[in-house]
Amino acid sequence: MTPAEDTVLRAVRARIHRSRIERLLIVAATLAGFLLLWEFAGHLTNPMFFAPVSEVLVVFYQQIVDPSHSLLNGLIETLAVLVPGFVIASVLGVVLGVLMGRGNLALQILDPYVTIFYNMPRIALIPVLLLWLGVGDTLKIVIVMLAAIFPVSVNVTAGIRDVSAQLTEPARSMNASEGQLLWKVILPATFPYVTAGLKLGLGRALTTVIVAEFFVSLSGLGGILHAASSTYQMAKMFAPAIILATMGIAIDGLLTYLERRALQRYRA
Amino acid sequence: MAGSLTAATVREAAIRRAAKRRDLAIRVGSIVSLLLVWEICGMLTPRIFLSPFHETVAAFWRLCGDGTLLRVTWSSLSVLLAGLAISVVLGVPLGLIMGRYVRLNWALSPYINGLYATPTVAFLPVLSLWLGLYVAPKIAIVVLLAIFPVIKNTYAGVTTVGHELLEPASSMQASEFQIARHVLAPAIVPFVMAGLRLSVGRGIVGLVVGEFFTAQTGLGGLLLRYASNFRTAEMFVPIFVLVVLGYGLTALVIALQEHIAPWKETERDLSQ
Repeated sequence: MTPAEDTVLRAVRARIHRSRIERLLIVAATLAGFLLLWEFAGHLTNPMFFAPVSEVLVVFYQQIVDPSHSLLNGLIETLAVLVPGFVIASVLGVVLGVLMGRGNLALQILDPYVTIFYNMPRIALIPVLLLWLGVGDTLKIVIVMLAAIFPVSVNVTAGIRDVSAQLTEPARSMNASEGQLLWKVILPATFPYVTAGLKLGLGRALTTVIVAEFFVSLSGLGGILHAASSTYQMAKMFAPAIILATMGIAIDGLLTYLERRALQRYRA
Repeated sequence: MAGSLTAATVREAAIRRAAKRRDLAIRVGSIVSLLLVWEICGMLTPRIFLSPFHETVAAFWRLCGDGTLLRVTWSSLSVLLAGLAISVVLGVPLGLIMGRYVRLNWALSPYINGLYATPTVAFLPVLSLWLGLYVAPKIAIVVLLAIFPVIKNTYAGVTTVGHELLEPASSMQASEFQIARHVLAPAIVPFVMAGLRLSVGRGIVGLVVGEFFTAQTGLGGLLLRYASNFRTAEMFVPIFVLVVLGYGLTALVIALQEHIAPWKETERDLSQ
């Protein structure tokens, strides 16, 4: 490397470094401005309708150290619905997607229903399922499952159709069986579609679990939120909302990371 | 030689047509068998759980005939369209300036990504406290669900426009507005449409949640009223209309996209 190239490289690095610092400063400044605005707005408005951020944080802390653990219990209740519902939906969604992606008969039989359910606002099914399943966790798990399964299956079907066209012939020419073709060739290549479907499904599952909690029995984080808002306890209402938002962002981030890892593996 | 080739092509086309007919027959058979199961189950179970399919069809005609369905559907549709319109009017400029000014993107993207991943229906109780029970909170919740795909896709569209297009424009003293109108707009339209396609589905969820938990109006309100009175035949009518609405609006967005932006029909939506 010539000295000239070295200088250029150093200048570029310094510039990247400076822009990173600038970005950090801008993010910090915006956050500070946002919190200040929230604080002022909270003091200026009627406490029945809004709470300053300081009060929200104090109440949040109180709810965490609260010996009855109401917030923690709410979180556990919500997760007890969300996790089984989402896991069942992921497994069934992938199975459904593979069936419909590989078999024409399955595609023709199931496609009308997948289209209907994919376009149906899943929460519209809550009143119907309420009649059939009663008030309880079964209803909530089923509705979460219904919300998440179709984004997964639709993405997997699309993915399998995309990759099959390119990959089936070479694998077949090397005498791969249908099982080998599926497990070793098609499913790994479909992985990015699976994670994309899981991300969409997770968003839907989170929305649905909250609505189900508003609706059915006032349990879980959605129940706490609804109870706090209907008694005008503004500061208390923000705590479950913050937890739900954090949950959404964290799981979305995790799936994005997995997606990126998978894509890198297949590009390399 | 040429004759046998044509014959082969004709034969292949005939096989393909036969396969298509068979596929259609399977689809129709699949739907008909579900409706039959519905009809039989409806006859065997108590009315408060499920009514036979033909009663739902009768209820559909009755609700069409007396104008209820039209009125309720219009009430829902106007809220949904208002919410989607606001999402586009606010979301496109926001995505545009975020794509043009990197510092603004740094400042705003944490909140926009955060809210996109957040189940925003959780804000409905607050919105209802602030905005009341009628149209305003419903439009607001539709916007809160529908705007983020529009913002993110517009932004993604702007960032696909390279310097080779932007620099000549600014070297010829194009104003920021002229750049947006003549350079960026053609590039972002397919992206906005792809975002809007997602927004339709999310917006309908917002609409139904709004109609469930504020004043019970529209299709969601009607559904809730029938379900809580155990009128299981009528209950499926608003659900059916909601599915048609979702499917129809999505098809409309796709048709619109092909009409006004046919130059990039396979644009993936990058926000997912």
